[in-house]
Amino acid sequence: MAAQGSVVQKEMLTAGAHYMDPPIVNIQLAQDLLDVCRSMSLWPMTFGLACCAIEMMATGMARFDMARFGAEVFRPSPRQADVMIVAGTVTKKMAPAVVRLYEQMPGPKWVISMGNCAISGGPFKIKDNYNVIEGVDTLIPVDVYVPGCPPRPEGLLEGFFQLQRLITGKRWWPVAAEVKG
Amino acid sequence: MSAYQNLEQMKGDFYTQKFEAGKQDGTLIINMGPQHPSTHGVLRIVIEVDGEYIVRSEPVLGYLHRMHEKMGETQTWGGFIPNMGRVDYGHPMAWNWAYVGAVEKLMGIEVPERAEYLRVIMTELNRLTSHLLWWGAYILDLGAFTPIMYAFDDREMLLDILQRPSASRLTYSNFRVGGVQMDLDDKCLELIRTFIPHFRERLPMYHDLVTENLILRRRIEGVGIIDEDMCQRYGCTGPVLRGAGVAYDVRKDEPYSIYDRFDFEIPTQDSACSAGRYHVRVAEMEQSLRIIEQALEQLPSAEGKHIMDKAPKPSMKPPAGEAYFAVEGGRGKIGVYVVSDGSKVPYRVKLRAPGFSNMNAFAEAAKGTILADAVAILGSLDLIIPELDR
Amino acid sequence: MLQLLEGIPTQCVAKQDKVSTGRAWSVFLAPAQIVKTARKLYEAEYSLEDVFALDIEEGFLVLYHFNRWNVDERVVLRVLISKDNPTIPSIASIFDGAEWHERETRDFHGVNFEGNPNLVPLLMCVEDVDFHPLLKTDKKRKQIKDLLNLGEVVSCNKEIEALFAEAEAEVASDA
Repeated sequence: MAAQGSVVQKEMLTAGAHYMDPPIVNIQLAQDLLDVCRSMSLWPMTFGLACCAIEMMATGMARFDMARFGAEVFRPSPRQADVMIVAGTVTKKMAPAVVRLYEQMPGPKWVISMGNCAISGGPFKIKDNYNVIEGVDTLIPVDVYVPGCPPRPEGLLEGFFQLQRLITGKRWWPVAAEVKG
Repeated sequence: MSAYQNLEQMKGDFYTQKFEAGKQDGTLIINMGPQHPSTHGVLRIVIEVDGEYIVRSEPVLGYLHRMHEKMGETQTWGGFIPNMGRVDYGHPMAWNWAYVGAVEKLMGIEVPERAEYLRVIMTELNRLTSHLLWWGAYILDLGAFTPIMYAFDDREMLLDILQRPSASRLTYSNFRVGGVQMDLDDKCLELIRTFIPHFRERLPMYHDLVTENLILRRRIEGVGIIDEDMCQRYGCTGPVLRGAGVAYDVRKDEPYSIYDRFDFEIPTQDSACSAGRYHVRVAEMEQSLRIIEQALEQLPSAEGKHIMDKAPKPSMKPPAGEAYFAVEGGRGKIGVYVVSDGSKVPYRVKLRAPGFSNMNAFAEAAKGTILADAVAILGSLDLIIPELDR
Repeated sequence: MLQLLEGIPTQCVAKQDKVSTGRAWSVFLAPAQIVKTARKLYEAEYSLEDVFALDIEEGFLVLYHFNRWNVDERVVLRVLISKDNPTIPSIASIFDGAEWHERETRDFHGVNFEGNPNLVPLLMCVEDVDFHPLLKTDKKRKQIKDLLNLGEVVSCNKEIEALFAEAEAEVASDA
């Protein structure tokens, strides 16, 4: 088998496996309230693939302190997580595992595609590419893209702010001031 | 909708099925990875356990195979350097150096003296970040969360220093054939000079906090024996080999660049267990500080000397031939072998990753230990998965 | 090194320039001799650095790098095998580490190692078992004499000399 347009040819997501039942109490105000709660305590999955994973770790550590924004509880099991940070290169061999992990997460769930590799294949998108998936969004739905190779921890934090905005419809944190010089 | 419609697929994949062929009665085959917090990424190990004891195990690689060797044959000589920053994100400077050194050998280029010193300083600082990352992550694997906070605290200081000349926090690729891209400015040198005494003060605290801890000692002492003979058979190098009592360090035994000008020791341990490898790495941090200190003292002044003086153009065409260059990375001997056919693109680039050989010894070392020990052994090998899979 | 190779029918033994190639010795061998040589090297405390292949017009050139811990004397063993039947005996029974290196070479170039205990894809997907990414296209493939130098020859048989013959004639005419 030679390298072709896309490395993975078949659809991997199982139909309906990420389906969510309608809420029992379907009142807008209750939903809004729940959304705020959800966005302020996101539980990311410890899912480091490559270089970006180290920056993801650094974001959780004392200096950048993701805990300030409610997202410090890294869970190793997808069953306990609601945000999947795809931090690194997804390869052909890894693709089924990524999809399975995504399907194992309970809803509502979100995906942050961290780094150029996860967005588009990044530096590994070459002509003779035979092993790297060019964008994790070809496998699973992605909510927020954080570019960089690897993105700085500030970048990942900004990605989380965007995700919180996506969930609640509002940006909760001040915009960082521009530093001159 | 049932998720179990593909029953055949659910039974396991090729590697598990193959492994099941030799299964004993009453044992259980489990998969560790590819998504497992202690495998530092996407390593997968198929393990057969009898109760809690490991009967045999087989690592399955390739979950992060990023085609570096293929890219070596499609990128230009200069265009391949950024790949070196991504092969091993723990110690990218050493990989930079190995590749650049091989091309320099091929072309017969001599590097300006100041550039050599800058390389040494930056590589040693990078070795510190690599070991700190390992130290924090290893203790985290073994169940203690606090130490990684301390390790990353110091690591952030180093990253602040290193990002000045390399404009990057993690995947450095600032070495060039014939020199380095940017000089260390005065502010940067000052930061390094203040960092050294600071880190010297912190090191004893690390020991107080962790090394003498009884729980840690019980978990790593005598676990995962990789002795001299095993190292020879598997080709293990770096702290794994030094932890087995062999004082082999490429910086001393195959001196490259200007390492023969510095006075430093090669720490060794005779125990050949995880604790031995732990102590070697912690002692290496102190030696790296010594090298940086001496390099700063000897550093020739920047006046009138350019660090990219003899560098060829990015579209260089090295003469046909082959060259092998080995350097000492944070995990062991990094070797880069290049073949040129005289064109703008390398004919073949072979990357010899130390982690690949070290990991190879895992199956034998883990045999007969308990499952929790497997984590202790994996961590003590200091694995960086992209380096294994390349 | 020369003492070590006594009793092994080598095809070519050459000294290499350490400054420009990073190696001390280069030895061409027939595929049948590789296991015997590896055992001798193991007894002389050499350890394996890597195993990989080069895709050249004459076939596959399989390279083995060895080095010692106490003395820096890197040796490269080269075995030329044909494209029609790319098979070579495995040295995994002597150097256990060779198992993975050989599997990797099988992945990248399709060289078969006879006697390897577990010759299944290591880095590549199982579905891609017959796809070898590092094979060159005919246009890009070069002859061995365009790529490598023999170095300072100690002994050499006619076959290997013939491989390099033209290149040396060219050098002579340039001079």
